[in-house]
Amino acid sequence: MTFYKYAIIVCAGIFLRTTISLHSYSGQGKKPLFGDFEAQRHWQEVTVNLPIKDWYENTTDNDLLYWGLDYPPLTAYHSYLIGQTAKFVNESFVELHKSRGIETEEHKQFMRMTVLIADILIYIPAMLLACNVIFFRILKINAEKGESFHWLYLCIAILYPGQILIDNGHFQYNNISLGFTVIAISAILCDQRLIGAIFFVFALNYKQMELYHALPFFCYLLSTCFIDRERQKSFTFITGIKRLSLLGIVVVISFLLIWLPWLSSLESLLQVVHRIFPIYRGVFEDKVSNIWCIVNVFMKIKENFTNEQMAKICLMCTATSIVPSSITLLLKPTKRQFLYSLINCSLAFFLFSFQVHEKSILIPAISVALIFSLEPFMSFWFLQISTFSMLPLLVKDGLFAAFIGLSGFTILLVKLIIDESKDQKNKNSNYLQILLKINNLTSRKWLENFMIFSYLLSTVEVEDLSDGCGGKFAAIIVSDQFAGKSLLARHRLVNTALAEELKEIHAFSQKTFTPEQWQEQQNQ
Amino acid sequence: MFYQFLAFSFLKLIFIPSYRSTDFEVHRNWLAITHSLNISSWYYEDTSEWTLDYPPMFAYFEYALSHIAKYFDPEMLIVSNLNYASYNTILFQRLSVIFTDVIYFLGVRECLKNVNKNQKVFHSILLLGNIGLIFVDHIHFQYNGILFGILLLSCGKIFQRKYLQAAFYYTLLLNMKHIYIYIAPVYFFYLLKFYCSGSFKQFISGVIKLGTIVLLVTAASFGPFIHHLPQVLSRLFPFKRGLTHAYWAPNFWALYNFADKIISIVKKIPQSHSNTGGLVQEFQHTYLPTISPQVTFILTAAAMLPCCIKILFIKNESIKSFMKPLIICAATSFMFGWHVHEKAILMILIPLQVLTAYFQSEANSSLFLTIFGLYSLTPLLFTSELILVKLSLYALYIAFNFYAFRRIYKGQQLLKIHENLYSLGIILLPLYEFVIQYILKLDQKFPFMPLMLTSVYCGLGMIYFWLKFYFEYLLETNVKKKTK
Repeated sequence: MTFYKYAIIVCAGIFLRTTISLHSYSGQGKKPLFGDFEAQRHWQEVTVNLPIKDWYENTTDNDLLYWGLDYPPLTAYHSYLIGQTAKFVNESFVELHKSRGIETEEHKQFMRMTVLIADILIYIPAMLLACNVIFFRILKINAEKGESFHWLYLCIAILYPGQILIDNGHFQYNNISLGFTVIAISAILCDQRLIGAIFFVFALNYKQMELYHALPFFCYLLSTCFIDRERQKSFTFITGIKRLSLLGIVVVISFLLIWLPWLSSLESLLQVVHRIFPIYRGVFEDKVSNIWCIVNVFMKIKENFTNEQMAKICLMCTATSIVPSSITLLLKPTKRQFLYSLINCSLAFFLFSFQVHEKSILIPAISVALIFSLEPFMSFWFLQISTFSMLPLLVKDGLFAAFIGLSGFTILLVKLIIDESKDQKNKNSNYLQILLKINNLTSRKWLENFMIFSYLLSTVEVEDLSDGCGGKFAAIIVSDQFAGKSLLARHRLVNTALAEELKEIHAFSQKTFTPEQWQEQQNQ
Repeated sequence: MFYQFLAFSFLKLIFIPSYRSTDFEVHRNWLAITHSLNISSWYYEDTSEWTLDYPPMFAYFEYALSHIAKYFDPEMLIVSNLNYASYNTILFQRLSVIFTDVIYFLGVRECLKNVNKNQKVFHSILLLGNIGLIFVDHIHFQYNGILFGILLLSCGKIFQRKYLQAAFYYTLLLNMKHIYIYIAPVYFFYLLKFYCSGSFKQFISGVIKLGTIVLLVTAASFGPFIHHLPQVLSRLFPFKRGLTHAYWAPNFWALYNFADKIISIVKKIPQSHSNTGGLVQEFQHTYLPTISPQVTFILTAAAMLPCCIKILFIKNESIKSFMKPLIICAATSFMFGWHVHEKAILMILIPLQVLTAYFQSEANSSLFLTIFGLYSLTPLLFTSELILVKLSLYALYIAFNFYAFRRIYKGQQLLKIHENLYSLGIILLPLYEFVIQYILKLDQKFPFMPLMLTSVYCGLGMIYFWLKFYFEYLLETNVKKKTK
C-alpha cells in the first residue's frame, strides 16, 4: 500500500510536469531578447565556450547586456554541466554567438528534460523527505489514522501548481534551489545541523534569492549552538563556542570551494557580487503582488524617489518586519518556531525588499507548503493565491490554459481527498476537523475575481515594447463595443477598463477596431 | 462523483497544446462539411481525403457543434481550408471533447448507481479517469467519451430493466458510430430472452415495441439520406483497408502476421514489401494464406455464437448476465475482426470496469486487461515529447489500480503468479524501445521492432484474457446454481 501511495504521487508529479512541458515557454518566438528560456540557454553557451574567469565579465564574446550571467556560481556550474551535455547531444544548441535564439522542437525537448531531471532528482525527493519528517517526527501523527491527511500533504507539496508552472512552463530551475532549501530544512529538523548548513549554502549559491530564508537559518543554527530547547538543556559556553566554530568552518569551507575560481583577485570577486545583486534595476518588475506595487497605485514611487533612496527604504522596512520573528527564534529555538520563522522572513522579503520578481513568491510559498500539516487552511489557500498572483506572467507566456487546468485540478483534488476521508468515518482524528474548514470555504469569491481578470486579458492583445521592463505597451483592441463610437470614445472605454494597469505603465499606445474593421486590416 | 468529473475535466485542459493526430483534421473537415454543404451532398463531398464515414447521427452531432464553432473561428468551417488549425480552432475542438464528456459522466453515474458506497469512489475514479480515453480523446483526438457515455447509459438502463430505453440509447449509439454493431448480438439475444419471452402475446408485443423504437431512431438518422443509401453505405464500410491497421492491434491477426514473418524469415522467402510500416493498405502474406474480410467475419461470428446461445439459457436477468456476454462479444470482435483499431480495446475495458464495480471476482481480469490493454494504446502517441507523458500517466494509472483494489479487497490475491510475471514483462517493452535498441544500435536495422514486440506481447496477453474470460463464462452455470 505504502509503495503504491508513493508511486502514485511521484508518477502524478512527473506526469503533470511532462504535460506542462508541452506548453510554450517564456519568450518563445519573441525576438530579439526572448525570455528566461533563452537566458538559461545563453548561460550554457557562455559557460561551455568561455574560460571560467570570463563568465561574469563583459568581454567581446560575452555581452552582459544580452542575458549576462547574474546568478551565483552553482547556477553557472549547473549551466556548464548541461551545456556540455547539450554539446554532446547537438552542438548547435550551445554554439558561441550562432546559437542565440535557437528554437527547434528538439532543443525545447532537451531543455524541458533538464528541468524534469532536476525535479526527479532533487525537488520531489526533497519534498517527500521534508513532508515525512514533519509529519512523523515533528507532529508524530499515526500513519494509519492520518492516512488521508498524509495523502493531502504530499499532494499539496509535490503538485504545487506555482512551481510546476514556473519551472516546467515558464522555464527556470527554481526546483533546484528550493529543493536544496527543503533538504536543509529537513536535515535541521532531524538535528543534522551541519548537513543542513551545507545544503543551505548550496541553495544560496544556486540562487541568491534564497537569502529570503537565510535569517531563520542563521538564528536557529546560532541559537542551537548554545541551547537545546527540545531536550530542555543548555550547553556550557565552551561547548557552545566549539559547536559554533565547527559550524562556521563548515560553512566557510563550502563557500570557499564554490567560489574558488574567482578568489584570485578582489576585482573579479566584486564583479561577481555586483552581477548577482543589481541595484541598478528598478524597485519591482512588472506586476508583483507586494507592498510597493500597492503603494505605487496611490503614489508613483519612481517619480518621488531615486533607486538608491528606494533601496534604503526597502532595507529599513524589511529589517523592521523580520526582527520580531528572528528575536523570538534566537531566544526560543524550537523546530516549530523555525518553520514559522521561515515563512515570516521570506514573506517579509517578498513584500518589502528591493527588486522583487513575481516569481519570487515561490520562495515563501515553499515554506508555506511545508507547514500544511500545521495550518492546512492558510497554507492551502496561500499556495493557490500565490499561483494566481503570477497570472499576468503566465498569460504572457501562453500558459493560461495550463494555469486553469492545474489550479482547478489541485483545488478539486484536495476537496475529493477530504470528502473521501469523511466517508471513512475517522471521526476520532481531530485533523479531520481542520480539514473540513478548507472545504467549507467557498471559492466563489475567488473565482469571480478570476473570471473578471481573465475576461480582461482575453479581449486585449498586448504587445510589450519595452523588452520586459514593463514600461511601454502598444495594444490592439478589437471589440464590438466600439461599433458606432468615435475614436475618443473608444479610447476612453479602454482607459476606464484598464485604469488600474495604466497607472504603472509609462507609455501606452492603442489602436481600436471593431471586429469588421479588424478583419479588413488583416486582409490587407 | 461530479467533483471527480470536474477535476478530470480541468486536468484535460492541460492537454490542449499537445500533439494531435490526423483525426483532428478529420473532425474539423466534418464540421466544415456539415456546416457549409447541403445535407444531400454530405456523403459525396471528397475535397479532403478524410471523407465523412460515420453514420448520420454523428454527422448531425458535428452539425450541432459547428453552430458553436462559428463563434470561435468561422474559418474552420470552410471545406477547402484543409489542415486549418488556428489557436481558436484547436481550443474549440479540444473544449468540445471536454464538454461532451459530460455524457460519459452521466453514463458512468447511471451504471454505478447501486454500487457499495465505500467502493464507489475508487471505481468512479477508475472509470472517469480512464487513461485510455485520455490518450485517445484528449491527446490523439476523437469523440469516444460521448459514445461510451451513450453505451453506458444504455447498460445502466438494462441494469434497471428499462429495456425500451436501453434499446433507444443503443440504436442511437449505433447510428453515431457503427463499430458498436459488434455488440449487437448481445442486445439482440438478451432483449429477445428477457423482454420478448413468455407467452406468444408478450413476444409479439415486445418485438413490436422494440422494433418501433429501433426503426424510428434509424429512420430519423438515415431518413434524409434515403435516396443516397448506397453511397452512404459505401462510405461507412470501406473494405479497401487491410486486415490489420498500420500498427497491429494486439489481436489474433497480429500473431498471425508475426508467425508469417517468422516463417518467411526462417524459410528465407523474399518479402515484397514491409507490412509493419507503411500506410493502410491491402497486404499479401508471404507464407500463410492471405485472409479475406469474409474469413474474419465468419470466424468472428462463429466465435461469438456459443456466448450468444448461452444467453438464451440464463435463468435470471442480472448485471452479470448482460455485461459478461457484452464484454466477450467486444473481445471476440477485437480478436478476429477486420481492420481492428487498437482503440477498440476500450470497448472491452470500460464495460469490464463497470462489471468489476459490482463483482469482486472480476478484479483479476480487469486489472490484467488494464495492464496490457492500456499499454497497447501507447504506440498511438508516438511523438517524442509525449514519451514521458504517456509512460508516467500509464504508471500512475496502474499504480492507482493496484492501490484501489488493495484498498477495496484487503489481503486478497489480485493476480496469479504467471499473470504477475507477464505484467512485469511489460516493463521490458519501453525499456527496449527507449533504451536497449539504441545501446545495441538496432534502431536503424529493425525500426519497427518495438511496435511489433508491443503488439505481439500484448496480443499474447489478449488471447490469454479472451480464452480465460470466455471459458469462465461458459462454465459459470454450475457455480451459480450452487450459490443460489
